[in-house]
Amino acid sequence: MRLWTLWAMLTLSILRTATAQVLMEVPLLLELPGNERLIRAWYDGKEFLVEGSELFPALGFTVQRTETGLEALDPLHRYVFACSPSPGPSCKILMDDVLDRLGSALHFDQNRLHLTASSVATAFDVRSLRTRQRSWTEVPGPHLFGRTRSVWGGMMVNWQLRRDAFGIHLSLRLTGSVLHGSVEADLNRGHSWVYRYDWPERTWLTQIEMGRDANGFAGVSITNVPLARQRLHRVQNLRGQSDPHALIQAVISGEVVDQLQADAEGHYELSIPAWYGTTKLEVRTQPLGGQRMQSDHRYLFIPTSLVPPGNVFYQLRASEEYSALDLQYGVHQRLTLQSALALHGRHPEASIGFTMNPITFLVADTKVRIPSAHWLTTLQLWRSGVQVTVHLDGWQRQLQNLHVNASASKGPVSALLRGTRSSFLASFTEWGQRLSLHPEVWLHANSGLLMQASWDVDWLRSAKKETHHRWRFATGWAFPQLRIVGFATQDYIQKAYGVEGILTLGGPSLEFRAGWDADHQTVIGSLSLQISSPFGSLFARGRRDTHGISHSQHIQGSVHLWDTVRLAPYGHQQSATELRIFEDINGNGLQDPAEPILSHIDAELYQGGWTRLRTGALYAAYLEPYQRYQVRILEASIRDPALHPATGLEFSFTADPGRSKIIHVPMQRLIPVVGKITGLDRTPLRLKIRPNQTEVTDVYRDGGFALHLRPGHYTLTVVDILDQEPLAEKRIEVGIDPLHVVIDLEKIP
Amino acid sequence: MMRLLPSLLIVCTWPLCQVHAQAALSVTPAYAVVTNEQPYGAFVLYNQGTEGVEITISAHYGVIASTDSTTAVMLEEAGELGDLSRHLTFFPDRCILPAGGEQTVRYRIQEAPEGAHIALMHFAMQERGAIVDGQIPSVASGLSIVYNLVAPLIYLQGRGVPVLSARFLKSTSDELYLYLENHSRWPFMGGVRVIQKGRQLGRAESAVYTARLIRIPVAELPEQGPLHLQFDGDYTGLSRATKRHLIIPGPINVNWY
Repeated sequence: MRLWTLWAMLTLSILRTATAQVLMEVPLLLELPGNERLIRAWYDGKEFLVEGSELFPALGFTVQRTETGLEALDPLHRYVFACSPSPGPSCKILMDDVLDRLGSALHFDQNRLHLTASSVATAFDVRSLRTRQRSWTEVPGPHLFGRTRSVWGGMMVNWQLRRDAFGIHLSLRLTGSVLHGSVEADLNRGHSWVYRYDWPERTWLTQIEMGRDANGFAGVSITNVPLARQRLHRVQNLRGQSDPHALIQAVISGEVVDQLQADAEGHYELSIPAWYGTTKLEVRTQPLGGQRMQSDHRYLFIPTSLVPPGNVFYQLRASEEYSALDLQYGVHQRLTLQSALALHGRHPEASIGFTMNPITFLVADTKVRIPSAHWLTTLQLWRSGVQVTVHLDGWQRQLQNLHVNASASKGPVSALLRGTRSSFLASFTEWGQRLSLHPEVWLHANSGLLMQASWDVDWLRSAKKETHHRWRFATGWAFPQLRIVGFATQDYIQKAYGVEGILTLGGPSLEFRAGWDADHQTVIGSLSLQISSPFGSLFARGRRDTHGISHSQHIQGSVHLWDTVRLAPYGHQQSATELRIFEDINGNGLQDPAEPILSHIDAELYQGGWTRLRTGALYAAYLEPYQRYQVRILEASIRDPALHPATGLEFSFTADPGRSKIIHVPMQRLIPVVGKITGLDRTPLRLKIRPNQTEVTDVYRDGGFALHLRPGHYTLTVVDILDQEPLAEKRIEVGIDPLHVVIDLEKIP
Repeated sequence: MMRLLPSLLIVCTWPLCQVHAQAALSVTPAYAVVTNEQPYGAFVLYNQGTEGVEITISAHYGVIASTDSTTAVMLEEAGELGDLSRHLTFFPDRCILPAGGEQTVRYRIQEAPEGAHIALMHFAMQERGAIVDGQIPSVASGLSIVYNLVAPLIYLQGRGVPVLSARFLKSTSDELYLYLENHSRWPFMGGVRVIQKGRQLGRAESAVYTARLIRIPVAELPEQGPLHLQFDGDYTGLSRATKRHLIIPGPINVNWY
């Protein structure tokens, strides 16, 4: 009996040990659209389990633990999973359970231990995953050169001297970067000036202005409207159809902003940033099977009067004569409410209105003034080369004016139609009506045949009815440097025939017109000459018509008072940038006299273009103040493989208002540091390099790593990507010779 | 043919990559010829696949030669051509390319003696798996294959004329197979024209570093007797500045039987 009991207990004990769940921890690679990461999983020889508290946050869910399980929530979905009983805070969920619930959104390859999330999944919010990509930032690349301020940042004086029938006039305009802000002044008959101080990053106050207007009234203005004109308004979802499983890329300004694979039916939905103004989008479609990539261009237009949802923009102005408050509130990404309150002396006036963008290619803007009930509506419509703008205004439900501008173009042919219906006061008691139409057709290529035909008709209806016609027909030829056109025209006062054209000779250009007025039996003509020199520009114009001869001349230019005095032919306020890429021989980051500018290195400036100065530096003018611009140094143009830009190959800068910004890019010789991590028991690993914490490098499968560092002392930290746990640290000193480093994980506790 | 080899290698390795890793690497340009006027340049690597790859880059003295029986990468052997790997610096020598990633590999040549020099740039690609084989022996695939792409890099210091000899191998109804050998330290890059009795029968472009099998498409087979081979300097993708460094060799005769 005892022996039997003993055998029975022994058998039970063996069976229990043999059937106990033995879990082996395995790292599971989760591939998401745009990134990948490791999560913990377990394998018991038959089934896989996955750590729910790591998987679901990675899929964009918010996770809540319940007594027996786990709840995964996002705005559209709710999933409840049971946790496998195990000690500790971990929640192990059966992989089969996950796959059953999330359906085809996840693909599990148990041989390679890859869990791949579909980029067109509907079981979770794919878009929220993609927003983690760096391309969603408004300007990719680290922002290294922000807004710079100084007490004296330079001044630019634009001058213009004009001589005409009324005499000689001099006008001066000053633009400068002074007192940590910017200043503008017009020194004309009614001189005015304004000083601006800005906080581009703030939400509730971005700029304060104070100054004196041309009428002599002093005032102040504050606003929170973002200063950079080109900024992101919203994320636009764009659906489309392609070949099944084709790879789709959305490209804006040369940057891939979204990339996904179409589903089995060829449907896809791209998420793209929609900027204020016009966003030019290129959709590239690469079908499977090595077929040729197709490219399609689309344009999105967001009017600047649309405010991001939930945001309030205001502008408050106060002066001795006039005060006003403008408010804009973004109700929805396609609807903005507007209101304005103004006080002219003691007369208050208000207006309310809205801007709506109900469909992608239509914007409606309406405003009603109170108490006059005068209303104004603007409609803008554009679609496939056709643009229509309609302005309507009226008073107390009566339409007073209607203006329509429509244009359509395809290739070199464009057609325009302008139409106006307006009311005018014909006498003290009677209103008259005016209707005018102006159709026009152009054939206009860069070179070759030119043609223009237009016709105007005006109907006036008041005490009596009148009709006026006007037409013009012109045809000619465009050569690379000369455009010459013969014309025939008739209007209310004359019928004329002749030739006109433009001759461009490198810098100077000559515009001429000569003809015969058949009604007045006289010669008519005009001549305009434009000559630019490095110091200024000359514009001269002469004209002979039925009234006689008239002529005018003006010269203009600017004087730049930065670090040196420089003359320029243009006369605009400008934000400019000079990029000096130089060889930093001593590695101190500063350009010393013996360190030359490397004029062979090219760089790209998105939303702008460079010119090469004689010094070898790159120069970009006419930038938008406060706008962030991205620079990419073209690596292939760096001749010496050992030289590397200390700024990195990509960075961005903010264009300063009213000044030239000088950006130094030191090209430094880096020392190769190669090494090996031995005693590996788990991978993948990552190496963090200090003191520059942001610099990391991945370790290769064989434990090798390769770095290029400037001379100095560094600490290398080996980190497990799985749990970010630091495994080892090693201090190294980089001299002028290549360094070989071995980090043995077994020897480091 | 020789300049198509790197492309062929890509094509050949592509199906294998599909099976195991869905990683595919392309190298642009497929070959590079630089001169002492501009002794620098760059290769661009692009991962067209859906998975990250680890790439190890190295330069070796050698040549891709096609004999009458095989086409092979021959290391430590490039005839009279000099060893460019001794004078070559490039960056980086290792990199990780995520899916869709791009990497520029810059190179520069310093202090090379007169003559033509060659190095084969090896781009060794390995799937960047997240799993170490020993970690999960029961489920991990133990297979890890390294694929090599090879791009020739030729450097010309000075000017020189190649010395070529040729022999006839075989013919088909529309192609002649000729075997060209180079006995000088200057490569030949250009067109080979087959002439008989003053009439051109066919032309093919080829680069001959040491020895090369060339196939010349012909409209009709030549008559028995001597053939003249004339050479020209037109080689697709070669810049005019580079062509100035290569003198076109004189015509040679081949017996056709």
